[in-house]
Amino acid sequence: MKNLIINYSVILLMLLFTASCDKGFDELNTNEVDPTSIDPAFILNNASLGLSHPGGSLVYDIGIVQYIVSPNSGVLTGANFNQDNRNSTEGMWVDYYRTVIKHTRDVIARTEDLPERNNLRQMARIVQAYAFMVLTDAYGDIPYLEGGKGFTDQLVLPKYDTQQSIYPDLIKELREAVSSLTAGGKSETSEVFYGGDLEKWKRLGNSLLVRAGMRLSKVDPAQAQQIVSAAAAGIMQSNADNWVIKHDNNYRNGYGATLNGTEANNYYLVSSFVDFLKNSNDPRLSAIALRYVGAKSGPEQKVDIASREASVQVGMPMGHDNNSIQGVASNLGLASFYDFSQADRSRVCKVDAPLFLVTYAQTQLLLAEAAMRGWVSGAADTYYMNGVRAHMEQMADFDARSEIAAEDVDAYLAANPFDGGNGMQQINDQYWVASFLNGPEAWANFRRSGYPQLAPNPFPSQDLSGEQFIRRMTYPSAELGVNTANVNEAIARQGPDILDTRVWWDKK
Amino acid sequence: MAYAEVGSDTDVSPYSDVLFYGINANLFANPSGALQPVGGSSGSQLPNPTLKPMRTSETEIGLDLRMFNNRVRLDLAVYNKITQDQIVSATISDASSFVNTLINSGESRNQGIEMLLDLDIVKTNNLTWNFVVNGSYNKTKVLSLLTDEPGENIRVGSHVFNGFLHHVVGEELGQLTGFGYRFDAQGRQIFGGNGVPLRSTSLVYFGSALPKWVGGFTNGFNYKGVNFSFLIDFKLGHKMMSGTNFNAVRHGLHKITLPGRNGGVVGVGVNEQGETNTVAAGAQTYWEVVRSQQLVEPIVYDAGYWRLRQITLGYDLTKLIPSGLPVTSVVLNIVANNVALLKKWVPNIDPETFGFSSDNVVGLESTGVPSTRSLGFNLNVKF
Repeated sequence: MKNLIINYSVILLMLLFTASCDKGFDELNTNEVDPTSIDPAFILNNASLGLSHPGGSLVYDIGIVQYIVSPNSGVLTGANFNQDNRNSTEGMWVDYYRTVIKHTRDVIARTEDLPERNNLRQMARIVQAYAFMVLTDAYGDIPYLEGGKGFTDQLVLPKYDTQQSIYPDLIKELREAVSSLTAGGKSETSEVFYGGDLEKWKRLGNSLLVRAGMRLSKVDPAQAQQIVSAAAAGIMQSNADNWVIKHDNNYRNGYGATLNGTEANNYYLVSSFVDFLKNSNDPRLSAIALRYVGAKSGPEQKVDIASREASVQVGMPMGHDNNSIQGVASNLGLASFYDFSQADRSRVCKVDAPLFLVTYAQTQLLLAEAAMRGWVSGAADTYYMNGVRAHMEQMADFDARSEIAAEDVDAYLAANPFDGGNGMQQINDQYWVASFLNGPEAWANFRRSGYPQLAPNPFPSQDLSGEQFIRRMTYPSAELGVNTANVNEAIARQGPDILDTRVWWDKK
Repeated sequence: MAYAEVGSDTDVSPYSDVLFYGINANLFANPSGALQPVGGSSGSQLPNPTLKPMRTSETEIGLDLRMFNNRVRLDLAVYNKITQDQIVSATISDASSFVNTLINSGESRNQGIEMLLDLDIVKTNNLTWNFVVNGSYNKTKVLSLLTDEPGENIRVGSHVFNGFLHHVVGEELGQLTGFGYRFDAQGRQIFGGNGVPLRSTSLVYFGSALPKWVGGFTNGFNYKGVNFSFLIDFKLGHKMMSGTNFNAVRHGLHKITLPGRNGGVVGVGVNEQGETNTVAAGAQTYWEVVRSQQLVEPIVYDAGYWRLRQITLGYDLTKLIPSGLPVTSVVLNIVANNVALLKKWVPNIDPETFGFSSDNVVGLESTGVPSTRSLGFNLNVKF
């Protein structure tokens, strides 16, 4: 009898649990530890810091425009040999989609019904438009309308849009964002670029519009003129408006981290860049370069033999691997290839060096070209002087030891005045110098303007089959394997998935 | 004969349908120098709110035969297992901003046969010879993923270097996938203008990473208390992608990279115009394609092997024990494990060594600790 009672009570107890389990199902199925939402301003900060270029940018864009090059192969194969190294061509794609666009899409979705966060939303739109512009400039057709919508719309295999259809939408996004930034709402001081300064965000938006407009100068000059002239009045006004990631020791500069890490002894300034600065006595050379005079190996690159003297600097010629470069070095009277000049790893390429995404100097130089074309009012030479001067002044923002004295700036401008007859070349040569260490932008403007007139990389065993320079990045192999139908549609439309194929605005 | 149906969702961790957020450990300064939080959704796996539990149903027919006074024993089983809605982590486009997502991957069919034959060939008072064969043949075919269209595929794993594991409708489960050499319509290999092999225009399925044949043979002898046995086992009918050989090839440490060290390699085949290739490519550039072009065909191998797994020699010392001691049996054995690889197809490594192992990297070898042979004594005392 006693046993029977126990048995019954066990059954009753079980029934009791069944009932309560059913009741508390939702609570049980809710994780009460991990947050499912945070302040969207912190998410925007994540996207903003994600804009920093991956170290792999050194392998391609920085090398294509002949700033910095490595004679070494393997993972460093890229612009140095004009070869298709798929592990590096995908760098920007993977970084920007997985960090920047993931978070901007999130901020935009989260602030949709929050009028007091309207300004944050517009900032996210500007960051996102910039990221898509960098991506489409590199790859051509990319997932745009469906890109980055894995979480919001469950789009796991997004379709590709043509660059021709992406650009008008980017311009629309930038224009709407600029005009929707208005006083009122929450003050977005935790935003890391401008601390919520709406005027600076507007100037950035307009400067980006000038950049995007000028990008179309080859393919659609009428459209370009219209975009540039409409935005020119509201652009950045000084270096204080520069759009810059001020890296620290936790959020590090991708170039700086790579050049102070595994590749410290493998990358050197290219002779075309060094010689250009040297030939015009440009004070920026000694602000950028450093040569370990007489170094015969990586470990011999020590401070006591380092020289920042402009006249001592020797750039590495393009087109050599680590065998043939030895002969080149000894012909130049150098101890080894470790004896070539580097971008100074303790100043412009230190781990916490700032990364300038959009600058006043660049924007002034773009306006100089627009003025020459008659698209904006004002004198081309004024814009030109402003641009060159601003970039020289900007050097101090890399490092105090890179500061250029005011009299050196004046002397340079007096010795190298603007020459209208040669203006296009002069402006875009300066744009090249002013974009130093912003590989994607320098490469895009080089493709657009054709300046500087660099000698093609003479490496004997190249993957380029028709073009003299790399015109686009090949798609990530993962896309070919996973998003096959969509990427193949883009390839069929745009041209073969090779380094030679030109993107839409890069008309021959 | 038996039939069973089972459901399961143990492959899924709790709360997998929700995206969680985190704040980074390090703050970042805004222009006025005030440190600000940086955060966002964490993890690269996209939650799938429509995930269902998987179901398996299995039919099995078995036979257990004992003949001639139990001197012949045969155990045979044939099975057919259908797995529906299996939960797998599928790689998705990076352009979705996520890396993978859990999906219900349609249906796969697992068919096979298992066999155990146990023979007492000799059985006398002084000498016994026992022979055991066990073996199985197993083939798993993907019937459908999201649709049942042949060729539809998902990526379930990636090699640390270049190479992937895909499930493909109409093919066996676990296809090793990567770029191969490019061939023209006549089957001639195509080389670029610089003499370097071109990679295939699309991904190639090199074969399944799952073995079809698995089994072993054991022979055991016992003569007047001395026992001797050895085991030979095998796995056959599967492929592997070798990361060790990948590194050896791209660094020029592999035997296949020897020809053309001086003067370059002239690949046998044609150029893109269909003319015989005469261009010599530098050996380094030629072989680095495994890395730079992700052209992994040179490092895909047959992963099969025959192995002398174990030899045991022992003697039963019980009869030497003086009576009166509290010991009932003493057996001394000398055991050698992993004695020899009798036959393998992959160079430089033991096909059984994997740097790390997990379901989604089957067949994707990366350099691990080499396998070792062990020799040991084993004294077995019973009280």
